[in-house]
Amino acid sequence: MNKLVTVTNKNYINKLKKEDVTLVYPLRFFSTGYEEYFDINDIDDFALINRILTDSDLDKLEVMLKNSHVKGIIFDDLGILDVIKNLNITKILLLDHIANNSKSLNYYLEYVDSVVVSSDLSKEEIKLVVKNANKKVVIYAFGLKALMYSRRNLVTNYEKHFKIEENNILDASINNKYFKFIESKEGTKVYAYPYYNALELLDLDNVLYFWYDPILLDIDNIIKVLYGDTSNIETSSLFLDKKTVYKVGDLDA
Amino acid sequence: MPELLAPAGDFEKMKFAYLYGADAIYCGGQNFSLRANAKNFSLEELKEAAEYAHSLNKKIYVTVNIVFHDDDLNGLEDYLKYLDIIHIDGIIASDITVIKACQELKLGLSVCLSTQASTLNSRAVRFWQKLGVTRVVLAREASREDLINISKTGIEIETFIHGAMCTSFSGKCVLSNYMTNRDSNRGGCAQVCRWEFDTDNGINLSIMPKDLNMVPFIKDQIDLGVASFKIEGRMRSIYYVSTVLLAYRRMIDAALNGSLTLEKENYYLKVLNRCANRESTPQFFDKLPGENEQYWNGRTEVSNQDFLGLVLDYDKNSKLVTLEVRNYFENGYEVEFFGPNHETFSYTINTIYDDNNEKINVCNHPKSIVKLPVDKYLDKNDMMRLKMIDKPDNL
Repeated sequence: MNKLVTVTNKNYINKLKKEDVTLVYPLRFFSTGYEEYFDINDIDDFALINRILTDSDLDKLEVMLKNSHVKGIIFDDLGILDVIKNLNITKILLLDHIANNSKSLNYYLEYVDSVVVSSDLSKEEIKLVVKNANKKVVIYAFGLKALMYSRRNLVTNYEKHFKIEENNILDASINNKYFKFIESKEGTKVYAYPYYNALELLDLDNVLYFWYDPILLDIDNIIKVLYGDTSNIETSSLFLDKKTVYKVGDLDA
Repeated sequence: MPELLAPAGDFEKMKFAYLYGADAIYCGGQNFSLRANAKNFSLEELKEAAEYAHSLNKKIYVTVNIVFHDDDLNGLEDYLKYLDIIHIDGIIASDITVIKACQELKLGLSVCLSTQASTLNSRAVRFWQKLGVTRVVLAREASREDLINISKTGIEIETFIHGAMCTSFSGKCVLSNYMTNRDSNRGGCAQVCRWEFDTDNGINLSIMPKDLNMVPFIKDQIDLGVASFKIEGRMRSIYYVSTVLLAYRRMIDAALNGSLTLEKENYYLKVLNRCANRESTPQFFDKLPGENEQYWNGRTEVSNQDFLGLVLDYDKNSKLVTLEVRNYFENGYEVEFFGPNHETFSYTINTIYDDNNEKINVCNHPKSIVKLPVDKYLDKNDMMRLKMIDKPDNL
């Protein structure tokens, strides 16, 4: 089955491996926004690298990947294209918020095996992009949807400033909209809560993988979601049914 | 010699930017540009702006930096061809479709990669160089080491040296989309990172960064070969743009002729912070910003009223300056005149004439015209501001 599932807890691995899925492991020091990270030697499936990297980071990554057993890589920084150019692994580009039209997606597809379609798009926009794609793409199917990626340690700064007990995860809200802040040393990701639910897109053709990114979800519910059961989970369609506007003036149009 | 690159939200701001020391400006058309809330330039105004810039031997860049959705692509190629025909010097873009279009259409426009692309390493830069990109605006998160590494690619480097910061990597944020349905990557950013978040523990969370200034590292960045120093703020006033430009113009010139001192830097930093009414720091250039580089709870943004008047004319015979009033002032106020062609000087207001040449004590009508006796010569478009900072005598 063409499902990617991010491993958010090492204790979930055995159960997940019993399912017909491909696992994605957030690579330690090269990913941010997860509860747990994994060393390269522990990764036997896909590695996730969702940080923006420096030259020094890329040099280290190059050495690590050469000696690894990863089968694929999902990555954000375009500098990684050079690092992996001679590696015989599945290469998936994750340019969330950046490749939002069919032409751009197809340009990027010239360099990789697949591209993750942006989840800021409406359902109709996603369907159009998928239909026009020159290779099979990856679709976010379920998970906490990242709204923001900061290099700053926003949670630590807050806890330090107000002398609050340290915790790398913080719940916050504005006007009944809810957020999960998850920080690592490498930065902070801010997610929308409840969970993004795009399972209605599972019938799309031209899809290499449907990606489940079940951050902060327990294993029982993860398994249920893989079988289409979200009854115990608060979910939202986010932008699927709500196309964002181009200009401020469009709000009144 | 590095270019000083200024924001221009409209034609008037462009003229002030050039007057106060910009070597180049960047502006947006009415489509395809972030800062959709700025007035921006019509097609005819862009043509006029290019002619004006080149008559001064200055440059003009146009931002085509939205992240396009399929529906937005209509008219893009025609627009790029038009920018080429009217001799815009270059475009600033982040969407690969825009960059490839310039290459495939064989346009004469230089292509600068926007900071929206979040570039921090030389390998990513080489990717874009192969697509014809000749300049890159580094992510505001770039450190000194990143700048050194990227400079080895030979690409022209543009760095932000002053202005507001995103909390996020630019381009990696859709908080605005989530909260307001306004697309931050298509010009609608509602600046949600400046709002306060409620938390379960009752202490509101703030994630708002202080502004950026690169004052302590201007000389360092010149030595590292930065090609263009960029100032943020297409939505800012002529007073803000002129003040910031003049401060950096003088610091850059002083750095180039070896006369930039710590005393000068400290003075200009005070001027810059007062002008924006916000604190600023070098942010990521020398370290990872921490709690001291952020604002905390309860801060309200209040513009100061320092900009008192704009010089419209100076009569050498009567030594009277004609001013357009911008904010309240009265007899007894300690003020300063500043402009691109003279040193800033202090002045105490003792006499004010209204437009009937009658003496008045207060000016409280914005846009009204008044005259003041000033011994020193002033140019049209010099400015008068409230004196809030003592300028050292040797500056």
